[in-house]
Amino acid sequence: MLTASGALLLGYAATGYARAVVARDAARAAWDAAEARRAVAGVRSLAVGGGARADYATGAPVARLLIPRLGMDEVVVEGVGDDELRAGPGHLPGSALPGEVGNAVISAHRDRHFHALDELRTGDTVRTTTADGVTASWVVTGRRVVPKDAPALFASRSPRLTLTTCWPVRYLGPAPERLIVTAEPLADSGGAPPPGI
Amino acid sequence: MNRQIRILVAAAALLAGSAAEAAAQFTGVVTPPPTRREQAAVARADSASRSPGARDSTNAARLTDMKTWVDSATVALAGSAAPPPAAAADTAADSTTRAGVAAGRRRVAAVMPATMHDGARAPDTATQLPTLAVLGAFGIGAGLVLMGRRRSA
Repeated sequence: MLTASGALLLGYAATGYARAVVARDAARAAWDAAEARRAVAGVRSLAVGGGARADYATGAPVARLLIPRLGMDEVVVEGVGDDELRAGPGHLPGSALPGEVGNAVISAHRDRHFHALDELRTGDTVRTTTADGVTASWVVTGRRVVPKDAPALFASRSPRLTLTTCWPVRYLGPAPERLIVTAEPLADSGGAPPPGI
Repeated sequence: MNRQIRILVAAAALLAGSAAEAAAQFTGVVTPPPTRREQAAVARADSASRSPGARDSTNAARLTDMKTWVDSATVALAGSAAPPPAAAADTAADSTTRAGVAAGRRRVAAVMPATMHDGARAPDTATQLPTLAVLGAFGIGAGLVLMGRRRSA
């Protein structure tokens, strides 16, 4: 009985992780297809904040997030619901897109796409490319831990990137806190990718 | 030991039960009797107000300042322009409604933080999968150990 219950729980968890892998692959395929279309159309722009913002459907890939030091390369999807967070880091609706003026908020689960976020340190470089082709480079300027119900996200009059996940990362049960990592645009990047990426 | 626990529980229940009654008994304030010095001061003031000279001077002052008082009272009444009771009630209702709406918005923001606003809390990225995986692995391990012991026995 105990073994059967354990197998059931383990199977459920394994199914959840397997569905996440499938959803992640689907998001990556959708991103690749969109990028190919963009390349063909020749509408790629490297200017930070350039171009009009498109509205994305929930679950649609909206950006690509790269953190070279952590080897992280994730496709960000629109929305932060269960289905979206299964596929990849989610862009909080209503927040700016990375590279736009405002606070761009991207969240993900601590046991999947942002499992290494606690290793991100001040001064690390982050690079984002939106589905519109807006590329931006960021430098991590701070990280803090807040209770899960505390105000953590604030509007900004300048481009800002905020990455969030649950905290502590290795915690059994619903994590009681949130890790908030903030990044500011690299002053000298000018929208160009930093060396080494 | 059990008896001590019972006594403690009974005492706690007694205190909890008698708390409301005790609070009701101490709602009034018992004024201490005036001291001799206070009694003397009250007597002096009373005799002064009852003396004919004092009464006359007080009356004269009131009569002299009556016109000024009436003028000032008229200005004060015109300036204050207190709202009628209905308007006051409306204002109170509006403020209550606004407070309710604000509280409702706060509750909604707390429950559904899935959109960005200033002061929003971070999205709910909590997941039960690691816990379920660990519990499942523990269950399987414990079950296998128990089965092995049963076989060996």
